[in-house]
Amino acid sequence: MSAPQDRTATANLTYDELAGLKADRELVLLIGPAHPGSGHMKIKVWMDGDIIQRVDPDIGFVHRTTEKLSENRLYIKAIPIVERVMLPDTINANLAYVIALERLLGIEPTPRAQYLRTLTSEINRITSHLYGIGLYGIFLGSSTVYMWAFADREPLIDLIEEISGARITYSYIIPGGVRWDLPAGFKERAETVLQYMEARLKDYGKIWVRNPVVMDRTEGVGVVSKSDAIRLGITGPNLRASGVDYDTRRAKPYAAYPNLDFEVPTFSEGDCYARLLQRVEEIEQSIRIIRQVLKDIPDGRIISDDIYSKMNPLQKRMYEMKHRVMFPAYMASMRPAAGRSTASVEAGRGEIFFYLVSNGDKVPFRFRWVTPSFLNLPFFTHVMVGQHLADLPAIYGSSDYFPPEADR
Amino acid sequence: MTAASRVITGITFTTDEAKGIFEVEASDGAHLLDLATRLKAAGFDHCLSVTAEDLGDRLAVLWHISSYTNRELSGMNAQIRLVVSKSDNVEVPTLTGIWESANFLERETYEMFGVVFKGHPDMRRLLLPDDFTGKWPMRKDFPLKKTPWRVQK
Amino acid sequence: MIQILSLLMSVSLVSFIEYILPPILYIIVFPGLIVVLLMLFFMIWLERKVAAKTQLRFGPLYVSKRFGGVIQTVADLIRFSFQEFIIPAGADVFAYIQAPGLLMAFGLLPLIFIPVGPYYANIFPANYSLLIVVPLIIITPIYVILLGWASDNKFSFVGSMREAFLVISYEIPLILSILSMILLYGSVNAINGVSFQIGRGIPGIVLNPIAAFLFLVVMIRTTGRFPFEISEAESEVVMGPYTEYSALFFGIGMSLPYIELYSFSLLFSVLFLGGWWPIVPSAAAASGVVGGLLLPGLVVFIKALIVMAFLVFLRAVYPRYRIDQAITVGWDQAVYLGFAAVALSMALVWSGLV
Repeated sequence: MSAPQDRTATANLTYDELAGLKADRELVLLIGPAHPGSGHMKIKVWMDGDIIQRVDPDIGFVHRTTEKLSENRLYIKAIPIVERVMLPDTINANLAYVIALERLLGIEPTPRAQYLRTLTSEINRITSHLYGIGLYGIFLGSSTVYMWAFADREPLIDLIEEISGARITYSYIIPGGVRWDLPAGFKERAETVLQYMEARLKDYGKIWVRNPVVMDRTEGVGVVSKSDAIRLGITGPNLRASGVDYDTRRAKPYAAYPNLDFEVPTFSEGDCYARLLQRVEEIEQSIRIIRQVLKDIPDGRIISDDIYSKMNPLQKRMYEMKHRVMFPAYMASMRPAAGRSTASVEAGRGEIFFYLVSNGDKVPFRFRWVTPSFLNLPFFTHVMVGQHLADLPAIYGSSDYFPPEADR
Repeated sequence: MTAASRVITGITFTTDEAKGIFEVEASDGAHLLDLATRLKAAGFDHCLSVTAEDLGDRLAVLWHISSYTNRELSGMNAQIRLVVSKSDNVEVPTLTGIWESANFLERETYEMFGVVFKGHPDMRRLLLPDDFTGKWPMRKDFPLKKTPWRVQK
Repeated sequence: MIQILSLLMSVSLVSFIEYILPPILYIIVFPGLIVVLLMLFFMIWLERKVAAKTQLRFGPLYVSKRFGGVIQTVADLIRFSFQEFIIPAGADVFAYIQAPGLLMAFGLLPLIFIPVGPYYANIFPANYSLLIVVPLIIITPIYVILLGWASDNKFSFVGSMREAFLVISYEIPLILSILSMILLYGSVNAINGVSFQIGRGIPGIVLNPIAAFLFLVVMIRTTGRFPFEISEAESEVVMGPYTEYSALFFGIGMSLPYIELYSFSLLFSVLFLGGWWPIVPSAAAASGVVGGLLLPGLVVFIKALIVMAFLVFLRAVYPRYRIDQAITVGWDQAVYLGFAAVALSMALVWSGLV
């Protein structure tokens, strides 16, 4: 908070005096970074009695300097870097970066690759929402829904493992397409998983969503009005739970979304309960999208001709045999023409924004990205104020804030 | 960049739709505020990103804005660009008064690029640790340690 | 010395069994210390195992795999015993050290005043047992507050403040609940209460379901089970009053709610579930240790176990309430329910239905 040179001047003050507390009844709580309910961040809370007066989120404990790292590496090496930031939701980070890069390169993925991107992105959206619902459970004290949600991510992760060979950090999407094709029998197995997921959503409804204690804790708590949500720039499911009908998949179409029929659920209440319901509804919509993708997916190559033509004969043979893309040497020597591009992708928690600048070199000149959790920071500074201390985890959990994602 | 352009409420954007670029250049601070006010009125209601580019002897500060409510504008990631000469603490006016969502984004740009946003309500470090003493790590002249960490004692 | 020895010699084996053994049995074995310890081990294991089964997990497993990890709690106890006991720099050392001990003592004390068999009257004066049990149960949270105060930690402090608020708001419902049963049974002697239930053939939970429900709620609250696990809410105040405690003292803090749960459950089965009801000892058998203490005690214990198992299962179902919601329930609905319970008892007594 204070600059290093100020430290001697304030060395004799207690922390409360430093924090500028007015009276005895005020209390400053440092929640985190080693607190079971804080995540990798420090939440500085000024309280008057049980009412929160001011919240200062001190983030950056898991800042990985992804922008600086990527600006000193080859274009292709940024994919694993951006993935590691958004662990429950890696495909969407991957996809956003690759879209921005493809725009710089001026290449267009094949239709089949577009559908595969949509498929993996939606599977990831479900796992991301399950992650959020599960963590919300532990924030409110229900270990059951936490365990359930994390256990139910498994079949979905297994599905995506069948496609990409990895469980969390897939690095599946590359410029021009994707790296692996669907394995045989995938559609049937995916349908089993989707039916299981639908049955489980009913169970969640019984033990969590319609649990009277959950409703007491969340209804009318942490209300974000529609105008506030827009003003503060809140994004993703949290925005839609406040009644704003905005979804990047609709507004800034990418991948195969323009061809798909899906709804964007919204709620008008804007409280924690609406944000919880919003995620459940979005899981249902994702299931619907996955079914459509598996039904409509076109045949063809999974990598664009631009990249395919740059492969050596062995790689081409490998591709024809196994439908697997091995990296042509071009990937390591990509030099996009000087220019700039932006890309927006709807990740599980909201909109990922990418801004890439190339000056013709083999590393990006400027690599800028903003993650949804970072945009959701006003939940701390604005929404928590005036609420009870016990509502802090309720609001934190409902916003599905993920510190590594915000810190980048 | 292609010379295509698009006019919104009298403001001409240089566009490159294939790359998702819609840019308007501000000549100075006053012009920036005027542009921002007019764009806000036109329907750009939130700020997606604030960042800067190190152009050697100058810095380009960029605000990326978009719209949640206006269907026509919500497909754009519009950017306002202000080029200023580079110094230790570059001063530009803040746009938090117009887009409150720029708050944390401008703080991040401050600590990474040394751009001080005049009038920002809370101009403090955000991501970097308190005891970090280096100046403006995202600028191109920030010294990078080339030695691999394994060699360090 | 010789006199004492000769006195001891003169005590025959029969009188030893009749007069000296039962109190020792009562305090040391059942329902006292040894059974409490076994119950603790079993209950913590059961809670974790039941929750794990609900949550698609295995729960404790690897310590004695053949028996489903049942001695996991013993392993935990050993771990606690070898941990370092840390006293925070700002703590009030005297209070910090004594509070867990006092907490344990007052947590165990109510057990002496809960009759688990008709023979109890031969050992301790049982005439005012309910009157003594109530304040003893209520007094334990005061030491929880002391824990939080002595720790010099803001989370401990907030947690103990929450405990204080909750204690105050749930005292009156508890007292009203027990009062309604006292009115119904016409006695503050719990043994009379049991004989009343056995005599009419109706357990108290049927006679006055409101009081039974209220007692259950207060029981959940006082023992910090979900959904009233508020003063120790992990995501809010870390571990509440026990935040700064480590080693065995933390073990005490962790096991205390189970001990309270045990005494509450014994009281619940005596007051509401007919005590030792299926076993109705004859007057002759009631004066013997086996027929008057052990067999009835076993029945009461099994009933209490069922109640406890039900309450620990709630962890798998409910998240926790917010503090102000819980306090509102305590001062508002619970107090009205308490008055309704008292009124119901009065109506039953006056109408002569029971």
